[in-house]
Amino acid sequence: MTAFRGPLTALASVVAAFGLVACGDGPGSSGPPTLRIVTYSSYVIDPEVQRSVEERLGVRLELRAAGDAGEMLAKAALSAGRPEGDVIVGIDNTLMGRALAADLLEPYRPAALGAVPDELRLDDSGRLTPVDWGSVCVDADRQWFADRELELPPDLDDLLDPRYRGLLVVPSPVTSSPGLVFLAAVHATRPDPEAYLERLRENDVAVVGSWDDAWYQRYTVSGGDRPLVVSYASSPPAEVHFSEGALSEPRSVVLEATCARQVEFAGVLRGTDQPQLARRLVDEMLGEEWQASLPLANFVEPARADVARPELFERFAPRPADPVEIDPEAVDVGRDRWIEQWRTVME
Amino acid sequence: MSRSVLATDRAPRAAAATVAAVGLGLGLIWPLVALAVRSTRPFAGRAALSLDGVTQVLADPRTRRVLATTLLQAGWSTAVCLAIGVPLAWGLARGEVPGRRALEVLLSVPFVLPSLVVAAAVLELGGLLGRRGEHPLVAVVAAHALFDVGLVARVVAPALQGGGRLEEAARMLGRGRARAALVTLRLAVPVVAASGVLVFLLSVTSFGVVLALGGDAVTTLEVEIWVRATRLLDLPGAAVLATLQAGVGLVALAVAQRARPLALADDRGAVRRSAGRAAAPRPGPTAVATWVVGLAVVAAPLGALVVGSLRRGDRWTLANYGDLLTAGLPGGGPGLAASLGRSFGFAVVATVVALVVGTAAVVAGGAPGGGLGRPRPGRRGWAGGWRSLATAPLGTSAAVLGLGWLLAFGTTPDLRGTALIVIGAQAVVALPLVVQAVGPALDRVDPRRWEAAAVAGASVARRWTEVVVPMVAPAAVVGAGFAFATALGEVGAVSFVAVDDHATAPIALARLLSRPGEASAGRAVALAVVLAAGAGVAVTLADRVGRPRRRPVR
Repeated sequence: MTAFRGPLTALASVVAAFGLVACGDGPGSSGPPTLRIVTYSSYVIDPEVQRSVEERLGVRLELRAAGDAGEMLAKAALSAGRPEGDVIVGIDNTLMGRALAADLLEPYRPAALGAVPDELRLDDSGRLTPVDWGSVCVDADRQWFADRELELPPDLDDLLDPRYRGLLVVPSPVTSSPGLVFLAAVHATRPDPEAYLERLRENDVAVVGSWDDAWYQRYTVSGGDRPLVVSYASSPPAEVHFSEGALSEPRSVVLEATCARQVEFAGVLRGTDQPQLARRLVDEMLGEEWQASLPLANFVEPARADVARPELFERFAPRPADPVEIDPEAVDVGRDRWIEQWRTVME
Repeated sequence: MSRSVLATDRAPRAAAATVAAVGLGLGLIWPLVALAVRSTRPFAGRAALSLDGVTQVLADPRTRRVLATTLLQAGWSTAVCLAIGVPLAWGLARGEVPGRRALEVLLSVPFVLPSLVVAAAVLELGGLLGRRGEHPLVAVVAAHALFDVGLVARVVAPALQGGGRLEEAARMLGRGRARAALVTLRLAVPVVAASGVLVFLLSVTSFGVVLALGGDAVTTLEVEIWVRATRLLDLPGAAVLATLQAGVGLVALAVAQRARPLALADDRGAVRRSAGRAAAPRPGPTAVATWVVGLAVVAAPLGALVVGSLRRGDRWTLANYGDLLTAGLPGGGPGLAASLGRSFGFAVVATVVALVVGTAAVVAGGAPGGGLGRPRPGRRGWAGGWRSLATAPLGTSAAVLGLGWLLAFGTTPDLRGTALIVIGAQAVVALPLVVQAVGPALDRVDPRRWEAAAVAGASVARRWTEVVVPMVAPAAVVGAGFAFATALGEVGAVSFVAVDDHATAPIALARLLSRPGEASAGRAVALAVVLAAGAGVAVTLADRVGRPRRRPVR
């Protein structure tokens, strides 16, 4: 079986070579200390901001990003006390209660917290620092409605109108975080949430697993079959930004009366061996430079009220006048029951 | 057979058992035990695992619904894949198909496609039929067919090859060609069962397409476990359901392992592949049908994919491919080209590990001389045990495996953030593909040839290389090809352990798809095309390199 020797030897050398590569690419023993940020996989730091923060703190920043926000929290909770990094960012107001119960954070209140509006400062224990927020809203395909001379549904109740039958797609609250914010908004504002969901179903709402599926597969703007989608107030500027010049105007319009607020927090992970640096990094996250970069990096609003928004946001991302405020405690208490109810109604 | 022959046979088997035990112990058992133990303590404000909790989860009507949906979905997926895949395998093996190699390679390509891409193809197809998103279960089954028909065809084809003496004998005895061919088909039942169990387990643990196409209408155990572990932070609930899912997998494996050749079991050795001697040449309708079915399965998703990769907005462009060289992960992370290179490197290493541990597990369960892969009746349990254990990762929830890995390798040693943990997770997930390909092939080795070689004084090593390897190598190559494809495309468990610096191409792809805008979607699709093409090339290379030169096996 000499025919096998050659390939086997070749494979063995590939393995050996690869082993060397795999071992060799760890951080070097010299150089600046590494500060690790635990987050979800779509979180982005503006490269220029990263460079200047690294310079100021004398560190190298490394993202430990894997999975979505829920997976991130599950992992962090499992490693509470011996964390995978120094700072965590991306816990939102629907996950907040779980994060606090999991005892994975150290208290820290940055000085710049004063510049953050009260409605974002939801954690009294001082462990979770609000760093950004966004609005989960129903977005509409402007052209689709114009072509049919159908007026846009003004608010959540209109989604039950037979005229809008079969037009809405929602990412499931069971598996997606904008979906959960949407469900929390229904519970916060509708007198009889269960009846609302039942009528939504009767009006032929489509439920899909994730925001990606809703936006890319079912939304008419991406070639799908539903002209109404539960997404974000920042989706229109994102459309323009990511078209890289192909679009000068978004094709989506935000139905502002349907918006609910999602707040994202950062915190110092309990058990970090660099607590001083970790706190300074949280300071940086609330610093003007980091805050100003957030809209175009992550398509969220800066937490600080005194930071200007980019033009794209000014033009296309409405700041709803009166978004539904989600009470983290209500979510924490209600979540299991809400989800069970949603599934019972929608299955 | 002398005592000394038996004694020397034990050594390789013991070595194999050691390798398999270490591999499976580290990669599968330790992580699962660690997670089970952790769930006996309170977690994130929830109560610890208790007997009451277990009964509560099991008695929950939702659990029954989810279990029923899982069985229904996976059952249909398996039935459809076998119904298309086995005839396709027949065509490949017997139809004198021109360009057979090319078709075989094409068939292994959909296996690595990202689930979101396959989901998009199915939705498109539904849209063409005017039924977009209308029948979630049908859509999920269709997606699984796209994924796995090629797997069935390729795993089963080697077992249908050649005429075999029995078939020739049947023809000489005046049976019609069809009746004679039936003999071969009946003898291939264990291999069909092995491929069926692979499809079944892949369907049970399928996550991306179920989420994308099923929405809340098709909630399977895998989805429910993920929801409990990552949405509700209900570790005990996730642990109970993961055990239930493992039970479903074990039952499926046990059923598949009971499958025996339907006729003349004692003479199964006679249906050895008579290499170099094909059945009577019969190009024509079979060949045409094979290509048509093969292309229909592969061309639909791949064609849509290639077209998508060449478009941005309403324009035709190559920009998506150009971007692969220059663009990075969103926000200036590591480059996409690097993620591709890394993916292939990781997958090669993971495949080698899976091949070694998987083969070891098969051999540990039953070695030549001891009744071969399929041991004597009294020893049956051992072979089944090793193989089931090595196939178990396929029935294990990715969320549970990922979190288990995190617990097991998060303290001492702390491997979080290293390439090792990513490769390890890939290897564990790829392992079952090797086992289910190599196992049935080893069962088909004729024990009498082994004994004859022993009596003639051939050393153990010689007997292995001369008797066993030539028989098992083609199956091992097919298994390695799919193991490679699995490792290459794996996102489930890997997404729990991979960090930016080691982001593989499928992770980069998922990341791109979670950003709005046509540019990132276009890049994602181009990345998928390169990944699929790479998998095709890699499988071809493995085929060329690994398949022993055809020479008469006496």
